[in-house]
This record gives sequence, structure tokens and C-alpha cells, in this order.
Amino acid sequence: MVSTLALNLSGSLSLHTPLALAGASSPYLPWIVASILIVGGLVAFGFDDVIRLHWRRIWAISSICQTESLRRRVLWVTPLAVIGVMVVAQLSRPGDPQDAIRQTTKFCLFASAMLVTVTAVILACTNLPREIENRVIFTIVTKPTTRLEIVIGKVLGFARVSGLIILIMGVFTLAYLELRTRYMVAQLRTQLAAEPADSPLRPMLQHYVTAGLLGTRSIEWPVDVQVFARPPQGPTRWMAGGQGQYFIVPFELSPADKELLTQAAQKGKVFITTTLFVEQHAPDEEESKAIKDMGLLKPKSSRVLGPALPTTAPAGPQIPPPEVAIRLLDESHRAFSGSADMGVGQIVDMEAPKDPAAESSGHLELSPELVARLVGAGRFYTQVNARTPATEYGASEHPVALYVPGAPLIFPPTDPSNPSHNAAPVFYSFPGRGGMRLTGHADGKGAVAAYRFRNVAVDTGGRDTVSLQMNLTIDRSGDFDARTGSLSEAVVEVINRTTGESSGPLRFSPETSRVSPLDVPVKFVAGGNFDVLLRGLTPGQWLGVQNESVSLVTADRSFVFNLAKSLFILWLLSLLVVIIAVFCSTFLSWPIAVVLTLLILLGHWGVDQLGDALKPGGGRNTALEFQFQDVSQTIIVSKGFDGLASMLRFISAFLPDVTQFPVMEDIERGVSIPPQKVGSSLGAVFCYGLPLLVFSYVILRKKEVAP
Amino acid sequence: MTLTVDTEAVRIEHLSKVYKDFWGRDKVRALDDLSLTIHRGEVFGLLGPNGSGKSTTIKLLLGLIFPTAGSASILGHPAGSTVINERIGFLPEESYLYRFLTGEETLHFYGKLFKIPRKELNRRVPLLLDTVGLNTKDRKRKLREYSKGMARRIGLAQALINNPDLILLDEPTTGLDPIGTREMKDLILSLKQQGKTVLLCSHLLADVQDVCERITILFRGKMQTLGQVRDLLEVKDITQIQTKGMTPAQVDEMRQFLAKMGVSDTVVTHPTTTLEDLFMRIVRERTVNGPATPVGATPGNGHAGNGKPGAP
Repeated sequence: MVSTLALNLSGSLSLHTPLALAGASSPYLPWIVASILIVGGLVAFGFDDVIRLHWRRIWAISSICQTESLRRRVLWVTPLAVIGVMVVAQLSRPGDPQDAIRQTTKFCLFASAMLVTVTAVILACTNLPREIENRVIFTIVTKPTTRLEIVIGKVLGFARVSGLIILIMGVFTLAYLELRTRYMVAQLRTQLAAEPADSPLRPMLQHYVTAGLLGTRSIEWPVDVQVFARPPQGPTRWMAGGQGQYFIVPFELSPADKELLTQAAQKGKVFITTTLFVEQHAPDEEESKAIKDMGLLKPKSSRVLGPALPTTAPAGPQIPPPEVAIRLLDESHRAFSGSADMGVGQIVDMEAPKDPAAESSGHLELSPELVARLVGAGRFYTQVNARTPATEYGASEHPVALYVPGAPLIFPPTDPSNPSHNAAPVFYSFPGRGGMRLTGHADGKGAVAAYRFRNVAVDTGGRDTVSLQMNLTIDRSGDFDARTGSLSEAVVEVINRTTGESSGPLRFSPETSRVSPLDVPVKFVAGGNFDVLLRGLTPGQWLGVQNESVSLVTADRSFVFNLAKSLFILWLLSLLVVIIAVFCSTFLSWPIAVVLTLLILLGHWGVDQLGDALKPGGGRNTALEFQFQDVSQTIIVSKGFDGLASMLRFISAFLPDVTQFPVMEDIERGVSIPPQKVGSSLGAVFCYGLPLLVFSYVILRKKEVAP
Repeated sequence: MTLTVDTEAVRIEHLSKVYKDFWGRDKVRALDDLSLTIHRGEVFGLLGPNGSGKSTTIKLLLGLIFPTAGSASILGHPAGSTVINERIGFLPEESYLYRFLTGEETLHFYGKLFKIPRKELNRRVPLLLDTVGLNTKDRKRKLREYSKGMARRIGLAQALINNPDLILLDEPTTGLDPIGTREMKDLILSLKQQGKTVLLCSHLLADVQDVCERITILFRGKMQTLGQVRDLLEVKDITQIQTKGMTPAQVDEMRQFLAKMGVSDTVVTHPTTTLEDLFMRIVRERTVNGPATPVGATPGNGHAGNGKPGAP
């Protein structure tokens, strides 16, 4: 499980750390490059053609493309897609009516997207090569038509065909969803009337009947989520031992730091030192079992700094001395070799302080080889795992530092956006199936997930309450017994950071893959800066939490408008597909053009799917899996893999990112698509599509169209 | 005769085209150092066997391919420029048109490419369709249903949609029946009367002879000859006298007279008409005196025809 940690959390880590921010490039760069390519290409190769550009010729050419497609009966595929959607929707087994509607929405949009994309690729890839082959192009280019008008006309023509297909599928989607919704709400009304007054299902049924199943909401997400042992208060943050909790601190070495560490590694010693408050309590049954399983009560030989010191644990059941485990991670969040590749990290005893109220400290000596790697990398992360059960570790502002005897401590770097503050530790727990795991406790004192909402604009529409949407995963059932009908329980507390008011505990019953709405009085979210603290109440149960697990409904929106936005994004995607297809068809025969179009379209996404496998260091891991006896073979495989990975990453940087066209992800969840996402899709078309359109023109202008 | 640039419709100077293979090596020299001038208002014939470079010359003039060497200008502008395409009409050797469009739609489409106003287009399209002999029914049919002859007619109509100054016709009579061929030739002559320049590219020598004033003959990419048709065809050492209504006695008298003059090898025959004239005469007579209801293949009953209503 530990080995997958970095992989699962790498995305959220990069969001939280200032190091990642430092490396970010300007968001305007693609726009600037695209503008230069478009203007430069047109001015250098076709200024005359730009001047001669006339909408009537473009429209005529586009009309021909559309007429040809329609008369080739392209639209006949839409009834097939409609039938397919209806069959799949009827055969699917949704969890509840809301789920059924959302699944149907997904099926409809997926079918539309597939239909439009495949149609656009085939039509646009085959058109130009066919016109050149059967020489119809002779009668076009011998008219006062510029090649720029031909390219734009063809793109526009196939975009019109795509628009037509999307329009038909959109009308079908709306009509079908409306019919299904009416039918289901009628069924829900009947079910509600038959349900006993104390039935736990009544609130949900009532909610669906009242709010309908086609609702769309504007949603605000938290800026981040961290998992603590206690609700965050004051400067100290706590993590619980034995529950997979840990924090991460980023380091960035300055040239002076590197020189100091290099010299210290040659002559003396280098340590990672961690300073934490430690509090221990009598272990409960589960903690006792964990202590036993981990063998923590056995006498130990000396560690880095000698035998463990006595603890401040109270008398009674045996409590092992407090330990942490430390790992050093590279930029890809992989452990540096020599820094405990396997397991949670290198175990470090925490020294008991002379003053019980003071912080304990632990030291990990770094080998000269590891120091050399850290110096070489420059940037790295320190992961400190809370190891000992029945123990809580409190981290203040500077819980970790690099220590060279006789020299000042080296702390994490200052935040580039806020030089007066050092990079603070970020708290996590190990991931389960549905996100970071949150262990449930009946007394409400288990791990707490703290969601920070900042600068949220709330449109209450005159209502007294707003709705929090809880979308959790139950990773391990714990004491929940389905046969008894008891539901799993969790509790939420909303704290307004502007007024300091707390909502107190608000209980609810989370269900996997189902959104649980929770009404909160407006005053606790007024001002837009508030925290949501979430805990599990079912003993032994693990809740899976992610950044998106908690959201706030800020306003109700129209489903039709949301569907229109989704279909518009789909049309923009089809426009990009058409441009890529036309570009490929200007210099390739149509079968090869189809293949290249798909490669360009899916290349970036495909490389993204390979994820961490292509990050630096992946070659080393791959080579190790082969278990070569010969070192040279290991090096060849490692370097070969890394070279291939670099090449793929380089190529994918020039390919469009289809995830910038979020056709389904929001509408499927009943969330209003934010204007930024529509803007992002428009940006992708501008930054990638338009330069490619200019390239197509330049190629066609230089092309002899007579075969 | 001295020519100024204003009287030139086409000027070709040392034009060459070499087709290359994938590796950039010379594969075929399709045209080799061609230089010629076509005057405004003349019908010029480009003759040669298959593969002689006729179509390559036309493609170069239209900018469909680019020259390896040399240059060409049309009506004072570089060949292939979109500006000059406004004043050119082109009929390719086969009717490369959108087969899913009807005849009318085809002309409207090409008219829009010339930015011809809608009103003018609505007036011009039926006129052109009448001119090329496509009847009301045929012009509503899709081009994929057209016979080869009908396709040539609509191809010619699209070439004339912009009322061009220069018309390039590549094998214009291919696929046409004798009536269509005659009509095509008549049309070319009427275009000449309107002051248009026509560049006719064909290997049907009789057609070229009938309509062209000047011709050039290409062979293996090189120009073999250039000049007035009359001059090129004239047999200078033979004199032909034609008269009407001579009796056999008068013919004998004439022979004796010529013998006295010292003229030998005298041949006296009756002139013959051309096969085309004979065919045209029979068809016309049949059309005037034939049954009211046409029999055989007509456009109306789904078979190919010449496009004229009631034509056999």
C-alpha cells in the first residue's frame, strides 16, 4: 500500500507545495505561441489570400461538404445511436432513480461524443484526398477560390455536420431524460406514499420528489483537504499513530546548502531531524492488537542514536515508545534509493524531552550516497509517518530540518508567493480504494478530514440553509451490519472562519457512490470562508475521502442550459477533431490520415494514462523488475526506458489535451458546468486548432493538386 | 503582324515540367521548353497524341501543378493566380463535378465561388442550361445519373458561368454524340464571335480543324509545329477548281483545254460531304418528319440522350 502512496497522491501534493508552483509556466504562453503561429503563418505564406478571403465562397464550400454528408446519409447513424442508448439505459442497473437519470445522461452524451467524433474523423479525413483523387478539386481551385478558403470552408462544413448531429442527439437526450424523469418521479411518489413514516428512505424519496431528478447546481469545491488526528486549532497540527497518517514537507536546496551538505557528507554526518509534540494514551482494543502485530513491545537493539528513551506514557497497559518513520522522496514522490524503498520508511525513535510540555525530537542519519543524491536532485520531499499506535504527534511550524552538526539547521524553502512564511507541512493519511482513509470512532474522536473553503460566493436565493454534498466511499465496512439495517454514520462540523461560529455536529449516513445532501444554516458559510470537519462514527469503518468528497451547492441552475453547455463543448471538440483530420488529409492518404488523426487526438491523453510510469526514474524501476544479473543490461533497459519516456513526454507536450473538453464529468454529477471549463475548451481550439488550420493551408497552398 | 502584350491572352515562355519520383529523381519529362503565345479572340488548338503534354500544359496554366522551369501568364497575370481565375473558364477532360448535386445546384455552387449575386445567378443558370442543351427535367437530376454527354454539357456550363474571357477546353467533345459534337463546335465558334479566347486541347483532329484558327502540335512534351491551320494544311502544288452544273461534254472540253495548256495529272471528281454533315442532315429530317411520340432512348424514359427534348 505504501508503495502506491506517492502515485495516488502525487496530484494533490503538487497542488499544495510551493515547489510545484515555482516550476509552473505562464498560462498565457500557449495563447502567445498560437497567436504568433497564426499571424506569422498567414502573413508569411498567404497575405494575399487573407485579403481575398470572402465569406460567400467559404460558406459555399462548407455547404457542399454538408450537402455531401447529408446525401451520403450520414445522419442515418443517429437513430442507431438513439436505439443503442435506449437499450443500454434499460439494461443498466442503477443504485437509485437519481443514479438512473445520471447514467442515462452519461450514455446519451457518450453516444453523442462517439458518434460525432467518429463521423468527423471519417468525413474530414476522406474528403480532401477523395476530391484530389477523383479530380473534383480541379473545378474548385481553378475558380477564384483561395486555398485558405478551401481549408476554412471544409472545416466549417464538417463542423456544421457535427453541429447537426449534436443538435439531433441533444433534442433526443432532453426528450428522453424528461420522459424518464417524469415516469420515475411518478413512481417515487407512489413509493413515498407507501413508505412508513419512520422509514429511513423517506427523506431521500422526499428530496427527489421535491427537487426532481434533473436538477443542476453550481458547486464550489474546497481549496484543499488534510487529514488530522484532531480538529486543527492553534499552530499545532496533530496526526495519529497506527492509522496511516503522515505529513510531507518540501525542501529546495540552495547552492550554499548543497556545498554545506557535500562537505558534511565527506567529513562528518548529516541528519534529518524531526521535532514533534508527542502524546500517548492507553491503547484501546484495536490499538493493542496493532501494537502486538507490529511487535513494538519487544526489546530493541540500538538505533541511530542509541536505545530508545523512556516515554511519558501513563501507567497501565503497555505502550510502546513513540516512533516515526521517515522517507525522502524525489520530485515524482518516489523514495530515493537508500531511503527505505520498501515499507513506510526508516524508523526513528523520538527522544523524550526533559520538559514534558516540550517537543520530542528524532534524528535520521543520512548516508553519504543519499546526501549526494539529494544534492544532485536539489528538490525533494520529507515524509514523516506517525508509526506508533495510541500515540499522537503534533507538528508545529518547522517540524523537519536538515541538520549538520555545528551548522545552522536547514529548513524548507520560503514560499515564493509569500516570502515571510516557510512551506508548511501538509497532512495526509494512506489511501484506500476511494481516497485517503478516515478511520471511524464511535466517540467522534477519530481522524478528522478538514476541508478548507475560501472566497466562496453563495447565492442563497432567500433560503435559510445551503446544501453541502457529501460524496464519500466506504472503504471498509467496520461494524456496519447490513442485515440489521443499521446505516453507517458520519458527522460534520462547519466552522465559519470569518465569524468563528460553529454549526456543532451534524450527523448523516454516507453511502458509497451516492451523494448525501446535508442542509446547513446559511450563517455558517456566510462570507465564503469556512472549514468543514468530517469524521466517521462507525467503529472500524474506513471512509475514503478526496478533495471532491465535500462540496457546497451555491445556486440552482437550469438543466437545459447545462446540457447546452455540454453539447457546445462537444461541438468544440468535434471542431478540433475536424481541424486535425483536415490537416492530416492535406498530406496523407485517407487511411493513414485517420490513424494519424486518432494518434494526435489521443496521444496526450494516452501518455497521461501511463502516469508515473513515464516520470523520471521509471526506467530504473522497470529494469529492476527484469532482475537482470548483468549490470550493463540493467543500465541499457533503464536508459532505454527513460529515453523512450522522455520522447513520449516531449511529443505529448505538442499534442492537444482532450481532457480540456469535459463533456460529461459535471453534467453527469448534476453540477453546472462552470464558464471556465467552456473557456478552457475554447482555448484548446484556439491554441491548437487554429495554428493547425494555418498549417493545413500552408501545406495545401504548396501542394500540386493534380495527381 | 506586330503584337503588343494587350493582344496576348496567353504567353508561355520556356515552360517545362518534370515529374519526380519519391526520392526526387526525374521520372517523366512531361513538357520540355514550350514557348508560344495565344492571341485574344482566337481559337487555338493544342494537338498531340496521348502523353504528349497537352493536359500538362493546361494544368500548368491553371496552377494545378507548378512548373519545373519557365513561366506562363494569362491575360497579363501570372498563371495560377486566383485573381486571374475570375476571368477563366475551364472544362476538364472529364467532368469532375460533385455527383451528388443536381445540374442546377452545380451551377449555383460554382456561381457562388465567383461571388455572382443571387439574382443574377437565378437569371444566368437557366440560360446556360438552355445553351448547353440540358432540358428542365435533366437539370433537376443528380449528376451521378447523367450520361457522359450530359456530364460534358454541365461541365461546359460551369466553365461558362462567369462569362470568362479565356476558356480552356480539354477534350471538349469526348463522350458527345455527333449532334453534341456539332453543337459544341458551334458553341466554340459563337464564343469566338463574342470575342472570347478559346484554348482547345484535343486529339480529335477533325474537331480542331473545324474550329481552330491556329494550332500547335506537341509530341513527347516538345512543340513540333505552330501556325495557322489553313497554312499548315495547304498543299501548295495542287490547284482545285470547283464549279456547279457542268455536263460530261463540258468536262471533256475542260480536260482537253488543260492538256493543251500542258497541265497533266488532271483528276475530275464530285466533291463529297463529311460524314458528320450527312448524319446531321438525316437526324434533322427525321426530327421534322418523324412520329410525334419519340421512340428509343430519350432522357425522359431514363436512358441517355443528347439532352434535346424529343431527340432520338
